[in-house]
Amino acid sequence: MKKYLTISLLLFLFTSCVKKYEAPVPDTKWKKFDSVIATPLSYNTRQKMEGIYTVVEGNDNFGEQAALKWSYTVNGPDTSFTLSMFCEKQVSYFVCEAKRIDTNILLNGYWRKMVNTETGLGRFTISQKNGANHLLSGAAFNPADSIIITGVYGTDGDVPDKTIKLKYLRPLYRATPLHIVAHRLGGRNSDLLPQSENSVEMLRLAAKFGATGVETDVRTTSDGVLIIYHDATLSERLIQKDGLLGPIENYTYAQLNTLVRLLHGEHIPTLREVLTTLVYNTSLNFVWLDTKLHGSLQQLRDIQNEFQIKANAAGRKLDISIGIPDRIVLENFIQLPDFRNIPAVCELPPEDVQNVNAHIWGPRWTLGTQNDEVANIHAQGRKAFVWTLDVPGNIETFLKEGHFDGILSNYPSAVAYYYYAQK
Amino acid sequence: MGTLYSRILYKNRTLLWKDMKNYKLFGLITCLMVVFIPILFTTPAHSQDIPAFHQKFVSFPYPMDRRWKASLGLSITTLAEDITEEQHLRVPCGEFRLLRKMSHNSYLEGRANFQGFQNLVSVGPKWAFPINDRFSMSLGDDVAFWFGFITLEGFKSTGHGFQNYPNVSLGYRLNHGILVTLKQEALMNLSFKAKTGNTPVTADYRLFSGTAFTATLEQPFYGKKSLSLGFRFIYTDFFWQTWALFPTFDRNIFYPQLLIGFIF
Repeated sequence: MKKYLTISLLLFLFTSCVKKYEAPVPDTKWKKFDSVIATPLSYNTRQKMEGIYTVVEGNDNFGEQAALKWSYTVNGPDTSFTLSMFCEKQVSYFVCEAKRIDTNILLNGYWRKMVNTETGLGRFTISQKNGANHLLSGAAFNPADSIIITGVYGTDGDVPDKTIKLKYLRPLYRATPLHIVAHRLGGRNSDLLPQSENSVEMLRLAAKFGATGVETDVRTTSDGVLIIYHDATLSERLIQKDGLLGPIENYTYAQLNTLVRLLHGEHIPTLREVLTTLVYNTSLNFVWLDTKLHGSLQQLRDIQNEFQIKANAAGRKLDISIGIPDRIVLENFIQLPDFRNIPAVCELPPEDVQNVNAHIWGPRWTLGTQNDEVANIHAQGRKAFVWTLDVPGNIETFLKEGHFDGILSNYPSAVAYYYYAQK
Repeated sequence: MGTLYSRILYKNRTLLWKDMKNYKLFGLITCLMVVFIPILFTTPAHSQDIPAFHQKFVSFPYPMDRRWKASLGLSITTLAEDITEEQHLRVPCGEFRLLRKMSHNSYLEGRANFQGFQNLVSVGPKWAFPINDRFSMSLGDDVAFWFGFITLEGFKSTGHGFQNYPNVSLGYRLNHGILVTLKQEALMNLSFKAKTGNTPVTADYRLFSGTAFTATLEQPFYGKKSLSLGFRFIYTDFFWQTWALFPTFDRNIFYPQLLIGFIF
């Protein structure tokens, strides 16, 4: 029996040694950056900083090029601006804040590689002689003006000490518009992001990751409140351990709001909360409401309409579309009054798209670029968004060889890099 | 978005496995099974010290006494939630192993894992030698080729790749005719090619993609047959049975595997 117990102990040790992967955002506190003499950048300066940059030093870690793009979130009377650097290699990106001190521009933030757990701090400077003088002036942008961003990056929370240098190359590509749609309001839990998938907090990060729109999952509680949650059941994949199990639709909203927290401590949001944040706190211009409802879609349609009116009233250009993923939802969709005039994304074949007059067709990426079908959809005045495209090489291929108007991805930063880096 | 895999495969679930998301629980149950299953099937007729060369085995690292040995069984792998998300997939896979004696201490091992839409074959030499009356060990290297094809709504996804598994095994012969083998393998990805429709799928898996530990028990089971029961713990950034999910992670993910085989 001793031998059996020894073997058992050995096996238990094997299976207990499962590494828990984490990629926490490091503390970005930087005394120089936080000093009282540091001031925000003007709109003009920010705009001139956007572009494709050559990574002169640090390219072994981040690739040969990076796309620098600003985004913002609104928090009450304040607006926070973020400069993201979408890099070529291993779905890596920097997320930075920017300030000026005298005639220098400082960038302070963190970096992350999405394919693994590598992360760390990043601190940059644009000195007067390297272009700050021009950027801070009111003069118009001149491509001949050289912008050189020098800095250091580190690993995890360590003081950054590895050199990185970027040199301005050309403006961002924008010739053919593309919707960069982030999956689950910004990303999925398995990618170890700092907020939970399908949370309001994740939605506030989406633009920093390169998204111009988001996709999310709509379910209902037992008392009929529309909520945002991906899986059919409560599971530790999505929520903190609390002993609750079973279909989420068996719980009332009050129960979920009181007893359940998402992985990073957020509560499960209602559809109204998400759309309120989307309209009033972000610059995102598209939301795909993936419908996981089994019955009437009337309440969903009412909320869609209500927030579309609110967005229009707020001067926001926002497309709120109901997703039609399968035939059951399709049947429920056509029960809606005037369904042919409801903005919708239909994942079914083009004939169904035409029948319900969905303004977007959403085929899965494994069906290929389908250029003929996409051309037919375009000829009908509709758009085509492909999902869920994550492999960087395939994102590049679809952008080069396909004609989609939008790409849904768990890696919006990779889509952003390959899109903006086009010539 | 549901995963592509979930639309194709294995929609059946059982509560037991669904709740074994905590791998420590899995480990505990594994250990209990290892302790009790052999006891259940061990009969008094075998409760004596039997030399290794009188026993049937395919995993135990010991020189072969016969020209051929073979086993037929299956492996069941629990795929990681990072890959399958809300689906809790246990993927059964047929397994056939064939051993051919080459010399006193060496033999060739061939293995075929088959699911129909995705399969793997491997072959490799092994050099086995006894250390003393109880312990023995082997060194080996297996080259594997996997291939798969899935057709969905008229579009075919295909994939294939080569892998290499250098391995070392340590065997211990217990009384009661039970042979215990602990094996460690390095998992190497030599190539990966996949297409969906006409679109090639790019992948950047590491050459040294992970490691696997296997604990196997082999013992007389019923009549003249022998049973092989093993647990394999795979830590890798690419497990060949997930090729159609096109995972993008570059981190080692845990795949527990149950192996059952009948030796004849």
